[in-house]
Amino acid sequence: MNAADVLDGGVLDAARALRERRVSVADLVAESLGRINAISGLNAYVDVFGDQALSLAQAHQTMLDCGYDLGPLHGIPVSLKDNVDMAGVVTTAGSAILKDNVPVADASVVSALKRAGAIVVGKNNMHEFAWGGTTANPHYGTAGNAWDASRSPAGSSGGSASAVAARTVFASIGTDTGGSVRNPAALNGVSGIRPTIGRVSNGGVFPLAWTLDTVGPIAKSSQDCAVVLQAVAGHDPRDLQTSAEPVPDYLAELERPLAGIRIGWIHDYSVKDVQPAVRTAFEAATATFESLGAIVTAVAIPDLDAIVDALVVLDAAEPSALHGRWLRERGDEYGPDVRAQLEAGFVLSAVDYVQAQRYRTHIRARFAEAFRAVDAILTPTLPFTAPRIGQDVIDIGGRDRDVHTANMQFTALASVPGLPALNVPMGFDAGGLPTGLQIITPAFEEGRALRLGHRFQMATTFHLKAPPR
Amino acid sequence: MDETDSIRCRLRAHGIRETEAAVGLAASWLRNAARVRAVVEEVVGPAAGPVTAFTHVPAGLHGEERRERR
Repeated sequence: MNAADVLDGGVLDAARALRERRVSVADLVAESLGRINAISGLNAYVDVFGDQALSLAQAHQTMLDCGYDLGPLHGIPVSLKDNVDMAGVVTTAGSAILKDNVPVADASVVSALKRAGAIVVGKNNMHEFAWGGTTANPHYGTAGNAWDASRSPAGSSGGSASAVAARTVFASIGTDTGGSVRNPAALNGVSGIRPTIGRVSNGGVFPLAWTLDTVGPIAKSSQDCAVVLQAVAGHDPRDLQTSAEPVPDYLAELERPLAGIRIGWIHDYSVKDVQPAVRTAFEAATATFESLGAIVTAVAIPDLDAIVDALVVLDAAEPSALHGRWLRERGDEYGPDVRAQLEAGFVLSAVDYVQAQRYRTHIRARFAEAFRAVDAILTPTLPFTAPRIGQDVIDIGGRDRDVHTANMQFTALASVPGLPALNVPMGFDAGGLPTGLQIITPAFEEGRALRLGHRFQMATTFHLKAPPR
Repeated sequence: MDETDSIRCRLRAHGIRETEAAVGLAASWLRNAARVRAVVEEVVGPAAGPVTAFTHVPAGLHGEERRERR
C-alpha cells in the first residue's frame, strides 16, 4: 500500500497504516500536496502551506516513532475553509476586505485539530463572506465541482467539498449557516455534517449569521466525519453559544445496529419538487434503510411552507447588521452579488426579524413533535444535481426554479430549528453527478445521524466512488 | 410612492447607496418576510417568543428520546 492508496481511503485505515509503518506522515503529506497542485484548475484552495506541512510531517512522524500518539488524526492532512482562523496565515473569508487579515490565534476548532495531531495543508476557497451558495468568488476565482469542473460545487464551503472529493485531504472544516456544508458535500459526492448549534465552537470563525452559524467537518465518509467531529466538539468559553452537553463517543455509536430505529420522511415535502434522479435515489435510500432493519414511515410536519422564507429573512438581516459599516465605507470592495445581498438586508425591519425568530421557535416545537414519532428524518439534501457554473435557473420536474432559492428547500429544515443534519452520497444521475441524502436528528444527536450515515455507507458504495482525475 | 421608491428610501435611511440589484432583491425579501408574518400571525400564540439556543430545549428534542438511546 502506498501513500496514494492511503489518501484514497478513510482516516482509520490511514491511522493504522501510519502505525504499522506502511506509510509515513511525510509520504502522506507529500501525496496530499501533489494532488493539491494537480487540481489547481478547480480553484479549491486559496492558500497551501507546503513547507510548513512537510516540516510538521517530520515532527509528527518522530512523535509517532517515539510513542507519542495523539489519536486517529495524528499525521492526517486536513484543510480549512478560509473563514477559519489559523494563527500566522491570512484568513480572507473569501473577501478582498480581509485580504491582509492575519489572526494571531487559532480558531478553537483549529486548536483542537492541532491537539489531535492533524496537519493543516491549506485553506479552501469559499463564497465571499460565506454569503452565497456557488463559490463563484470574484476575488480568488470560481471554484469548480470535482466531478465536472464546468459545474458548480455549491457553497459556501465549495472549495472544501471539492478538495475532499478530489482526495487531496481526508477532511476539511467547513461552516454551515443555511446549508453551506451539506450542499457542497451533496454536489461533490462526499459526506458532511452540520452540528447542533452550540455543539462546535464558532470561536475564531468569521461569522455570517450569528444565530444560525455552525462549524462542521466535510469528509469522504460518515465515519471520517465522526472522527473529526469527536476532535472539535464541546464547550468552549470563547463561544458563549457552545453547550456544556457532554460529547458522546461517536465512533462507539457508529457500531450500534439500526434494527427497530424509526425513520421518517416528510409527507408532502421530502420528495416534492425534486429532479427525477433525486427522487429515484431517495426512494432507493429509504429502501436500503428498511433492509437494514429500520422502520420507515411518513411523518407530517405542519407549517413548513414558510421555512425557506424564514431562513432568507434571518440569513439576510444578520449579515447586513454585521457588515453595515464596511458596506457604507468600502462597498466597492465587495463582489456584486454579496454587495447587493448585504444592501438588500437593510430593507427588513426589526419586526420582520423577530417574526422570523418566532417562526423558528414554532417550527422547533413542530420538529419536537415529529421526533416523538421517529428517531430521524430523511430528505434529499438538494432537489437537483450540480448545475453549470453561472446557471441561475434549473429544471425541476418540468418547472423552472431559481437555483438560489431551491438550494435551501431541504437544508432550511435543519438550519431554522438549529438541528444537526448529515449529508451522505445517495447515488448519481444519468450524467454521473452525485446526489445527497440529508439525515436530520434531534438536537445533540449527531451520533445518531452519523450512525445512520455509516450504516447506509456499509450497505452502499456511493461514498467510495471518486471523481475522474 | 411605489415599492421601488419605498425600498430606496428605507435603504438610504441606513446610509446605504444601493445598487440596482439590491432593490430587486429587497423587494423579493419583503415578500419572504410577508409570508413568515402571515404564518406567525396565523399559528403562533402570543407567548411564543424567540429562542435561539438549545439551553432550554422542548421535551422531545433532547428529552425522553435521547434517554431511550434509539
